[in-house]
Amino acid sequence: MAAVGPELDLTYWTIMREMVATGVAPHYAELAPQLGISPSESLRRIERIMELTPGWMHPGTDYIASFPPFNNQPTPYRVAVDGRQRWFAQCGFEALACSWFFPGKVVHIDAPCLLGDSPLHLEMRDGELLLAEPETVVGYTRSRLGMEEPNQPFR
Amino acid sequence: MNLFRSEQHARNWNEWNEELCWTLHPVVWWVETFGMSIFRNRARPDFMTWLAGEEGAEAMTQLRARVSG
Repeated sequence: MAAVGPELDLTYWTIMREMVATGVAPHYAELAPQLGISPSESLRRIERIMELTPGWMHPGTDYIASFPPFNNQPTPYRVAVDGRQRWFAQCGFEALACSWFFPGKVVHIDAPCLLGDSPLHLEMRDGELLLAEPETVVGYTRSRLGMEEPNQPFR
Repeated sequence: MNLFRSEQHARNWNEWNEELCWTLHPVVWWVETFGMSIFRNRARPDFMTWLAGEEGAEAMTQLRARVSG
């Protein structure tokens, strides 16, 4: 993996901080003045981050679609903290990683049943599963976990 | 990468693929997986540097070992 510098740390951190605060990832042109850089440099950094992480841009656009564990585009995995549902998780698995961004808080995860049965509800705090309704919840993926693509470990 | 009410629900899903049945685990197993350092450390302000360094590479190796079929 190519070396990265503090400028990429700051870019990642700034995007993630806004995602955690608002549930929405900034556009590269909104990000640029926050970082004191040009819009084109902002976009370049975002694209570099996407190469190194399991996030992605919406195809054919310059918009951040997914910035895991969160998703800019709504998904069935709704995440709520302090009674506010502002966030969507990238997928059911990434929903389980959201609590790391809300230390000490109970994170509620709600999702519909893909077979039309009653919804699922999970509660987590600091990576610990506090509640699963029903208790029989399982995770499964029919997508390959991206093992053959070193820079896309969990896409 | 979805959550289901039960193993039977997952197996009854119209996109169930028996070849990937090894990805079927209780949610607690996936909670442990997504508690690994590569996920926890996203909250670090130096995450990209960490990810690109030796510790990040080791964490990626550990993740791959856990989720290999």
